[in-house]
Amino acid sequence: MKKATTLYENGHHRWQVIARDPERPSHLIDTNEYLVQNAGFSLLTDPGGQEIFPGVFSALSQATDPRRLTHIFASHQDPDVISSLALWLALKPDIKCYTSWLWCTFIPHFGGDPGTFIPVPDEGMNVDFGGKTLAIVPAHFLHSSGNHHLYDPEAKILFSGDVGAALLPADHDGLFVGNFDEHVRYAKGFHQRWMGSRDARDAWCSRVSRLDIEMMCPQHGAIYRGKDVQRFINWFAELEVGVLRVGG
Amino acid sequence: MQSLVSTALGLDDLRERADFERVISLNEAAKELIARSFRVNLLALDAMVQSKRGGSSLRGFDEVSSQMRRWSRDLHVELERLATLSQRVVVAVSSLSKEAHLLGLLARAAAASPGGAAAEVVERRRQADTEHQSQLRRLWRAVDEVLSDLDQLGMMAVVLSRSAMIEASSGSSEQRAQLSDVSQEFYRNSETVVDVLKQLLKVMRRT
Repeated sequence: MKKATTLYENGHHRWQVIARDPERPSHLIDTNEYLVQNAGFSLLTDPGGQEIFPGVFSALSQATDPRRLTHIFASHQDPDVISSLALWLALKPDIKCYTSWLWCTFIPHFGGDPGTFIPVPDEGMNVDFGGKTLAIVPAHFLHSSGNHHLYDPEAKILFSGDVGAALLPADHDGLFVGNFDEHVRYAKGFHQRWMGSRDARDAWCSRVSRLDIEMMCPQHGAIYRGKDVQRFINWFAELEVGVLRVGG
Repeated sequence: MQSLVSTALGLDDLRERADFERVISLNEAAKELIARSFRVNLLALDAMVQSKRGGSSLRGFDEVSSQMRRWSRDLHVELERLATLSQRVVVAVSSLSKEAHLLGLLARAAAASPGGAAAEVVERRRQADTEHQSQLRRLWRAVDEVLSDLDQLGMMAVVLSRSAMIEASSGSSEQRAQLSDVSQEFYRNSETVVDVLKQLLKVMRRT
């Protein structure tokens, strides 16, 4: 089963990661979900696909009463990001889902009705989260054409969706990046293939470099901490993206 | 066919929501019980040290404390059984929820083309759904059995903590004050365990 681990805590304001399911079938990509809580608000980022719902639900139950979940943040429309939406709504029909306006008529194919979605404009938006501000920041074409990340200026945490993701071998199950140079070997192919636009990459690197980030939390793989955050941004800024190699 | 559509898209949602609600009640209660088990274990350990220092007059208190410690371990074991069952229930309910959704969509397809292949698929899935419902009921029965065992453990804790109160009066006046506090706390924790279980059983057996 997945486990919930606290990344940041200050009073009621908390970030927890739900990650590392040893029972996950190997044909499903591993995912990280992040639970953000403050003053009666609970938001789950990219809650995952239908198949992993039981594991995420059980781990979330360790951290909080799942009935307290008020919001979901979907960075984009992929099935590993949001296909479990109907199950979360079966549990609590009034959950609201922040996602790019672009996907508000596509994601309902997984579940939800017009009242479920809070469309996020291309330029992003600030969200009042029980007196704290969460910033939804643009990350379009990285990789999805309507893509956002979530930044918490107080916790100094950036949820970066697929950016920073690494397809780690089974024996690399650490929650945090240990050896950066070794780690990015597992991130390189993914970013070259999935991130198709150099302009989008440059805009993102420039935008997030201006943010004060202590942890960068991707949806797949390990979390970047401290100096590894800027190290990643620099590495990504230099990487050749939009690379198609025959056979993957 | 229309009634099948309604069933798959409407009532099943309520059924699964009720199942999810019960799992959440179970998990929330289990968190409280784990905390009590942990607290009693620490208290009992401390009480055993104190009563050993007190010599032969506190042998009875030492014995009761050691039984409280065994009780907290037994509680922990039962709660682990409950956690495993809870996870299996979540898997079963999630699967039923997905199936109900698919069944509803297939039933609509079958209604749109009567006599077509979709009707056969719907019938097969309905049978599978009935079987999965039975499996889920079996899981809930297993949960109920564990809760009955836990209920007995709760009552045993109350009895043990009352014994602790009696044994606490055997020591010197200074020891009596300390041990009385410990036995009172044993009692409060036991009462909470009983109350939590009583509430939980009410929720679980209501549906």
